[in-house]
Amino acid sequence: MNWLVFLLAAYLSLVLEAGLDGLLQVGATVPSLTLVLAVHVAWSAPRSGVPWAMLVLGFGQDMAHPLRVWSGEDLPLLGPWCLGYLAAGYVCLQLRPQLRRSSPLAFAMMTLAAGVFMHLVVVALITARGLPVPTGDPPEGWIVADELVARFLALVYTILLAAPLGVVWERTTPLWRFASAKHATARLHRMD
Amino acid sequence: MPGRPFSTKRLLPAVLAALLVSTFLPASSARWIGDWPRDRIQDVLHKTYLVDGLSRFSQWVRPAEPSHLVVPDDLATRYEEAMVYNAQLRTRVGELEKKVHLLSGTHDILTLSGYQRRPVRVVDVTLVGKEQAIVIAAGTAQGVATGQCVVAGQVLVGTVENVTPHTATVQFLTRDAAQLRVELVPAVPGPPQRRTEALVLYQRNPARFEVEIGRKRSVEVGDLARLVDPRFPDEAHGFVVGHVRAVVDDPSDPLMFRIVQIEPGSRVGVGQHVIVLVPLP
Repeated sequence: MNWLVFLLAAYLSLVLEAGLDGLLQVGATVPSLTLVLAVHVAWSAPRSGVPWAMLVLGFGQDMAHPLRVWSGEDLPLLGPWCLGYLAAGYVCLQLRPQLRRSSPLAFAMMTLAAGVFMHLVVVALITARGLPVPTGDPPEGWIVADELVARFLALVYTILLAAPLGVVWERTTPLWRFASAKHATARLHRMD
Repeated sequence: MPGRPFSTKRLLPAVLAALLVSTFLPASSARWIGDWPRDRIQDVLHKTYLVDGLSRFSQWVRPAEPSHLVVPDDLATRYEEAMVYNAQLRTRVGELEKKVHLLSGTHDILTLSGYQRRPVRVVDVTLVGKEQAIVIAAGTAQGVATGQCVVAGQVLVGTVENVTPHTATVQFLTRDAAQLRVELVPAVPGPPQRRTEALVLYQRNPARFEVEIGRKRSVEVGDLARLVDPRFPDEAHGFVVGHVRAVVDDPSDPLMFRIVQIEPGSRVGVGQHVIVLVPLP
């Protein structure tokens, strides 16, 4: 996989998410363009590169969306989104042999599966952080049910965008050199 | 390739564990780790002006709906400034309330009948046995005698032990293993009324009075310990011995008892003035 292209795409996703949130916002719901990119990468990249790509995307999310803690300050907590994206990548790796990449509907379904696991992991970790043991530091106004509903709505919105965006990302596949990476990995395995 | 030290299979579990630990770090540590990369990411996002440009484009395509409840920026800033000023005023009022209370205590000393209040200067700090004591510039010639009480403001400093014609040695209340009967009351009296009587014990290490009390007895941090010990002359009663610094669970029986830690009243040093309560003939 061409990591330079991946980093540029990750940067672009973060910029579009931050810059176009006012335009894309429906009520309080904003789609996640980074999740769409994550699914695209997790579906096509060599297996060994997927976790690292997910960690990079999760790191960007962790740093771009700090938690608002009870003291009113923003806390850049490294972990929840990284682990959430890692879970999403794992789900994609498990499902990708069963689905056809060329179908926009399949891409949307993959986004749904990955998004569900990602949000569950993120919400579970942040909720666990708010428990009295070990940290007891809940975010301001954190209500698990509200979070799950809001994230589900955001995920539905993301899925609606995922089908066309998946097609766009697929058009860029030659730039990513997924195939050559796979061949190189296969060559290495054969050498072993 | 079994020889590769940084393979995904080896590194990933370690990264996973590190992220899990990082997720549950206290805020201070999480901030220490995350502040720098957060700032760099924000720089990368915002210093290229792409985000700002896209935001302006979004605003142009889809202007924000006007709201009658929008608070102008300057009003919000002024509100925050007013809140800070209000907090400062509250702190000042609290300090002044304490001063008024202290001064009312001084008024009690001044109106104490049957005693002459003799202000004297502390001229030396000495040792009586193993205990620290002060020497004051007044003695038998000024009517000072053994056993008289020495105060500073509302605080009972100690009692006169040795007297010469022109000096006297005052031993502090804070002697090792000294026991005093005190009442623990709020620093600023007011409803609900609270009063707990206790026999406190002073220990040189860690230099404070302590007493074990039942969990149901009401004592709070900041309460004053006033002397009610019958072994001291009546005029000493009511003077402050110290203030409650902490109320902690008794480690030997935390379900039943708490330990009250009392910080002794401030000690006086050379050059300061104290008041000797000399009984009128």
